[in-house]
Amino acid sequence: MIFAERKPIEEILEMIRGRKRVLLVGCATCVAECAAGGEEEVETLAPLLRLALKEKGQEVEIVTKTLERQCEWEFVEELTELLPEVDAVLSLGCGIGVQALAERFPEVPVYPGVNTSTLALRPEAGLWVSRCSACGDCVLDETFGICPVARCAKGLMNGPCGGTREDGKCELDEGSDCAWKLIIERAEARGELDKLKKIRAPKDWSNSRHGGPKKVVREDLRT
Amino acid sequence: MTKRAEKPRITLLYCRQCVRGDAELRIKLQQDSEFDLRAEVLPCSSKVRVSQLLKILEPGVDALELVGCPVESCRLLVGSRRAEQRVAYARGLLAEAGVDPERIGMSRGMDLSADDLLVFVRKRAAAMSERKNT
Repeated sequence: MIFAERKPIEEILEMIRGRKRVLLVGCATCVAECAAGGEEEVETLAPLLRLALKEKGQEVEIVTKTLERQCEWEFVEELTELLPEVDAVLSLGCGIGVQALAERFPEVPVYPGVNTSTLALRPEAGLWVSRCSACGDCVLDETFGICPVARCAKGLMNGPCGGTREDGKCELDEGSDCAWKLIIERAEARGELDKLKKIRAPKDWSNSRHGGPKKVVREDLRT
Repeated sequence: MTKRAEKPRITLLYCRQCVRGDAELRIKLQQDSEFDLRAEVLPCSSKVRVSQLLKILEPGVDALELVGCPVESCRLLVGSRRAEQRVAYARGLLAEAGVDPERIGMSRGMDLSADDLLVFVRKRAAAMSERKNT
């Protein structure tokens, strides 16, 4: 899922300061899965903001709506009737959702209520871990399904750095496993350790964010 | 403003497993005491969500007390523990927003009477005014 975390309340309050009626919009897809911007988070943040605003003596009306997806026009259209009634939108969608709303409704300021940071997996309730950096050149076939770009703090492509702790944790983060230790262990378990002897060429980053804004066209899907 | 409105407005949510059978009735009978008290029984303290806790406070309720079973006696095993985590999270949100976190709290007990529940309510009210005065 696309992973995001709510911005600090003070930052959100600063963004909506001076506004009279704010539409707080959630997204029931990725940000709901990471408990940052789904319906429950919208319905939690709305009363919290009202309480905080009351405490500060500010009058801002907060109205709420959660879309199935903020990144699909057909769902974004559901806001059309609400938009004329508000003077700002606070989106709890990821960076894509915020931009979709801003693009569809350019006459109203759309503020981000969350910080979008990575692509993550939820291995257990209340825990999210980064698993993909959207690098545009997937090497998981060579690294036994463990991504060294997202999971190695240094993004190394040819084995561990040498700083791995004795317990197999990363030297930069005692809470994270060394990605290359995991890769080697999985290769060993499959009896394919030899495959790691291959030297990988410098990674091609041209298909990642470093290659500039991305635009993909599929003529077969266009109308 | 009526005399009733001047009383601290407190909402009491309690798990039905941790009270004596007549507790709900007795609480209601005592609503004309020192609090403007609204008492609601829950099938389990964990049934309440963070959004609900905050929505209860929003219209002007001064404080909310959630009462659950002791950790080891919870009939849903992890129910009251979950409730405690949600209360802690809600208190953190209030603090972050500059709102007194003492406005939400949780207590535990078994075989509680209406008087026992009122003790928890009084403690919540005291914790709130103590903070207000500091």
